[in-house]
Amino acid sequence: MTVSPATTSTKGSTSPVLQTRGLVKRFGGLLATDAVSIELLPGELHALIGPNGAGKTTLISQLTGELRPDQGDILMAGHNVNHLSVEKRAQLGLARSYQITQILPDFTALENVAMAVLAKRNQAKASSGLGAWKVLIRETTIQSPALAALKQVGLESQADISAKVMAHGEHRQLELAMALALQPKLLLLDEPLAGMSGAESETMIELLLALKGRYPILLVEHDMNAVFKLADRISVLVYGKVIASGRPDQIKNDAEVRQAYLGDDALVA
Amino acid sequence: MSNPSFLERLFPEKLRWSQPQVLVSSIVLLLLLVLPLVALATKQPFYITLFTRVMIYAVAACALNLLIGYTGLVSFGQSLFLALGAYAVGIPSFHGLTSGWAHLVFALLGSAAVAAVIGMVVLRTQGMAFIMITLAFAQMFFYLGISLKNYGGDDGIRLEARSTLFPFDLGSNTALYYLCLLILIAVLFFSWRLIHSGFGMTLRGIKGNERRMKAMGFNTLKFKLMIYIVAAMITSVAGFLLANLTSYTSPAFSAWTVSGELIVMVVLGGMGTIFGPVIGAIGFLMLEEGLKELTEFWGMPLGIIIVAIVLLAKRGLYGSLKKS
Repeated sequence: MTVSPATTSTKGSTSPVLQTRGLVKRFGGLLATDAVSIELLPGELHALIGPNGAGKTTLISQLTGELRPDQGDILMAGHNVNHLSVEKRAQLGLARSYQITQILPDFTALENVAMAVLAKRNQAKASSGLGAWKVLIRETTIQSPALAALKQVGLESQADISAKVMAHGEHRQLELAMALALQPKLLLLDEPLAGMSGAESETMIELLLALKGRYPILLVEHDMNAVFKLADRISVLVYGKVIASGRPDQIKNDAEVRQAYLGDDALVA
Repeated sequence: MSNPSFLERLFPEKLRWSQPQVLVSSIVLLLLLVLPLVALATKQPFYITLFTRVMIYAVAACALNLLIGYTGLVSFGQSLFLALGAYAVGIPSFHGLTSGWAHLVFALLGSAAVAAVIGMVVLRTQGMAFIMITLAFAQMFFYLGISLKNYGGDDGIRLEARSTLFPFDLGSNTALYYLCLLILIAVLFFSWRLIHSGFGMTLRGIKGNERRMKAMGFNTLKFKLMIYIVAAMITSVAGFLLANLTSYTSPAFSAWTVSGELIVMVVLGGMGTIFGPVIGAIGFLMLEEGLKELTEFWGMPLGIIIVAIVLLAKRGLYGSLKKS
């Protein structure tokens, strides 16, 4: 299969774009990741849920390369990436958002996204970097894709606003625009709804629904309403271990999940 | 303006006279341009050499600002490259090679090679460790200079004549002055274009949030190494000019106090502004000169004044001209 996973629909290739096999991470005596084997299929939105301290962010950090696993393998499109740096994995098409938004505070919204476009161009070595002389933001090959990505997340009117002064919800949207401008092969979204107001959440959920199917997405999220609305598949992480994985309706009715994670209360409809 | 599109293409930012920074930097550059004429007319040639020294330090401060102000790398060892540039004049001259172009080539290649090696080590550290390890390398160079007994050791090398740099006649103080001004303007313009380019924006991104830059796929170490080398090369040119101004090369050029003074100039003028280091260099050296006239104990008032300025104008003298 030579089809790019990003453009493949669920009907196409079914070999996972991202996969972990028996991943283990210990912090001293704490087993933060306990033999986790998950996979993300082309076009799939796979949600990862679990109570606080379940090891979701630790798992994400291992996927992106900020942490090294003690055991097990991480594969992107079938290739082992265990020993690749954060930037190498990003160059292979892994784009992420952070639980605490990570943007470039001194830049405008447009410049933030322009950096993502530049990152993408650097990877396509042919026209790399645009050197040390050309004014980056004036280059149409940078400006138009950056504006397009801002438009996609609904921030086009804020293009020239300094990122520092934007609202929290807008930071989330901006971070997503940066991820999209990288033309990623998969997206890792770490709690994109955290700290958002009701209205902001609605906007973001709409946005994620629009992206669903176009990119394989691994979504870590606490908002159950959003998770059940968005996910094709849900994996439940408790004490570093995947205790259940399946379709939303299976998870909803899984006795162990209800016991361990959701308590005895009924889930949201 | 007959051809605004040309100017707009030349300058990476839109400029208006109503911006205080534009006004101040233009006036300062204009004053520097006419200063030798006034100094000669009023028979005060001392000011020509004084401001040559100011501009040389301004060039080194501009280079340091690319590291501190735009990449977030607080190098406390830039004096190493200043001294390296000076020795690129001193040692060949000692052996009878007086060609300034050769000296410049030695300075540029030597500093690039040394910066590449040192950079690979120091750039793997961050924060306080980076400050200390850059200082350590400069100190190593300082003691290396002292141990070079053939080249005067502690006393350094006195040049018999300045470098010959056709078509410039560096024997004339005025010519050396204008060469320094030319180089300063070139460095300023280069920095200005650089910080708006893809490369410069990458550096500023690294300063703002290195983690995010890595997550987008930027090999941040590579970019930091590149600017570290560029800054070292510019600083070595300042060293070349300083050796010619003083007709002297000595390990003292790589003393840690020199690195410290360069940092003070950058902070005083305004980190992360193109013209700030120039204002910082002028302010620092003028203060020093003025206080030396008044008292033997000029160090203490100098320190107090600098602390007061930095406290009152947190973004530096030049940086504070712009509304945030």
